[in-house]
Amino acid sequence: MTKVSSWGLLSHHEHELVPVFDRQGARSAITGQGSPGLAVGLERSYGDVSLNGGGRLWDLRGMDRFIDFDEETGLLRCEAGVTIAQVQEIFSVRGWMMPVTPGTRFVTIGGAIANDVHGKNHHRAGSIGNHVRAITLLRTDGTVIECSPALEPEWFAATVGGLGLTGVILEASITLKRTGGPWIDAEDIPFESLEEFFAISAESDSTHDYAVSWIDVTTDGGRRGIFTRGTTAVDQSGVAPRDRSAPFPFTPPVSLVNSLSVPVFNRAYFRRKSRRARRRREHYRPFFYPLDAIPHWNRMYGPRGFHQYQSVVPHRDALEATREMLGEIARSGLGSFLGVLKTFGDVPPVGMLSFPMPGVTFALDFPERGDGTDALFARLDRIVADAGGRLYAAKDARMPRTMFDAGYPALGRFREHMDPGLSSELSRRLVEETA
Amino acid sequence: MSAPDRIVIVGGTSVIAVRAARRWAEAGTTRLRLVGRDLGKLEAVAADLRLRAPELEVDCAALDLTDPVAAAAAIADSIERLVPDVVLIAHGSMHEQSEMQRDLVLAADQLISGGVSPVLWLEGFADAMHSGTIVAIGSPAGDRGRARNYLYGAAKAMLEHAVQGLQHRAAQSGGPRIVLVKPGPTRSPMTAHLDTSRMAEPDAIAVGIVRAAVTGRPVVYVPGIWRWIMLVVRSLPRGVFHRTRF
Repeated sequence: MTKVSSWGLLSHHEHELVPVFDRQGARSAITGQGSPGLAVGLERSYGDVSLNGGGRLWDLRGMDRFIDFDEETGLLRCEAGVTIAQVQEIFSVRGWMMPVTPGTRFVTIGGAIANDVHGKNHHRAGSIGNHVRAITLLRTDGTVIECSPALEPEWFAATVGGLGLTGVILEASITLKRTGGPWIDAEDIPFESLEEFFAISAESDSTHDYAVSWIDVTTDGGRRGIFTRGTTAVDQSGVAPRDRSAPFPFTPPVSLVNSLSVPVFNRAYFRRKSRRARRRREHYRPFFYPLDAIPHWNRMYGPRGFHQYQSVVPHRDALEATREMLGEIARSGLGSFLGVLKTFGDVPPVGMLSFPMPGVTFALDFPERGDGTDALFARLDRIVADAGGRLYAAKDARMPRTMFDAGYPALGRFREHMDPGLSSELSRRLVEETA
Repeated sequence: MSAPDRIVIVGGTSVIAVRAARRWAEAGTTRLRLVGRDLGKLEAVAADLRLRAPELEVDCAALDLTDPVAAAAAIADSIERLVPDVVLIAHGSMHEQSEMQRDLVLAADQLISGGVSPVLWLEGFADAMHSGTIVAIGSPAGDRGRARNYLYGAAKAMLEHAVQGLQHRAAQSGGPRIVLVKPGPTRSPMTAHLDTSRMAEPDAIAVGIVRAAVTGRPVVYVPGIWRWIMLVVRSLPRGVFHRTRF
């Protein structure tokens, strides 16, 4: 048995960790087991979607072979344990990149599909499920299901964003995006009010491939921030910067993220970003993955770990709901380094449990502080629910069942596709029917 | 570090060998032959490598690696067609020690596939090559027989003896450099039945192999700490050693 934690470091339960390296190995490890297990990759989910405390985890990192690539169409077929980092590194220099990437490249393709991850280009490209052309799924009874938007579409819709509960994703085909190279024309724009954010965002949706903004949640109830946008560069010549990283070396005894440090950091960050050259040609690594330069940055929240609270609310009440959430956070005194705002586009997601919907998504990190954190989350839940929004399972370790039921109306249909040989801490908490 | 131009890998589906092959392919190796038992699995590895390095020319040869006649023919063909700069001998197996104690057929397989066969491939290539480097994969388990894994260790010790002899021979009369890389416990299909959480990543071992192929250091432990651990293990007086359980 091995202690396994997800990115939020909130728990350290013992697991039986079974490494899987190829299809044959997957079949013998996964089929006909007594107790339910769960396929996992790099454990970059924040909460308990990738944990199965006391049970079995199939570690699919070893299934990392590329199978086929079509230079004409960009269709890539690979095993589920291939990482986005590998795809970006190998294909960007040949003019192709991931059609969608989350804010870390240390995620497997299987994990990205199971959580239907989104990125800075959601307003144009939707989430990763919109670019998946085929999935090979192994059920724990030994059945193999090949599914795609046209073939077995119900299984496809259940598996994209299906939290790993419909079967084990062995292989997938994804259409890469033709970029011509790894460079992005990027721009930072400081804003001083939420209205300003919404205005820049509306303008950028039609002019830029990528858009996201950081918001300072500690100053005056959260008004100012930096809007970062970018577009695939036309001039793709240049030498890639060296991939330098400096890991966070150890877990401090208390969280370094607290009411003293956060305002200081946020003020300094805003000043630095506002002063620096605002337009630049940037390599995809610093543009998409600034935090990947500090491996183990999650340790900075101390031994109790941290939560990420990510919501989406429909456009209609987005401004008001965001303002209310910022007010609650300011009143709670529980600061957050990472406040991220982004407008989602109208591309409908393909998964039954996919998180994105047209509207505005807001993500915040909070150190685990027990009751105070719980109370704040309960107040934020109410704002999100009242606005008709929902929370992102890949980030969650605490939402109540009522919140999940209300946010994901296709849950009943999804349950018909669940594999009884699969289970996670999150599925027991939110998805499996209660007796 | 420039990559060797032409490479033959015996045991081409071994996870460690695959990781080394990816590094070589991405660093500019132009010609690679994968030798192994299962053509389907070899072709999957070859397809992955071609995608990673479109310039790389890869082919596969499937045969019974324990058959000395087939090995001799495959070695002759590889020498003639590739003239390899580097040969990596990476095949092997690891059976559960307690099962082998009950089943001599399994024990024989361990000794043949992990000892006899790699030694024959090593001998064949060493005799046929005039220069270049041969890297064989040994193990710290070959350094001293321990209750937990002495049959696996015996096979690896056999390989190490052959390496030592060939190094001695090369020092006197020339020939290819022979390198023995000894990985500590590594997360791989061979160790999947054990607790792999604290084991080395196959990538770390691959880095050691690629580097050893360039430097030609005769014996390389990866991670390096195993050199010192095994120095202590080898130096323990028998009376003390017999009281340990590791």
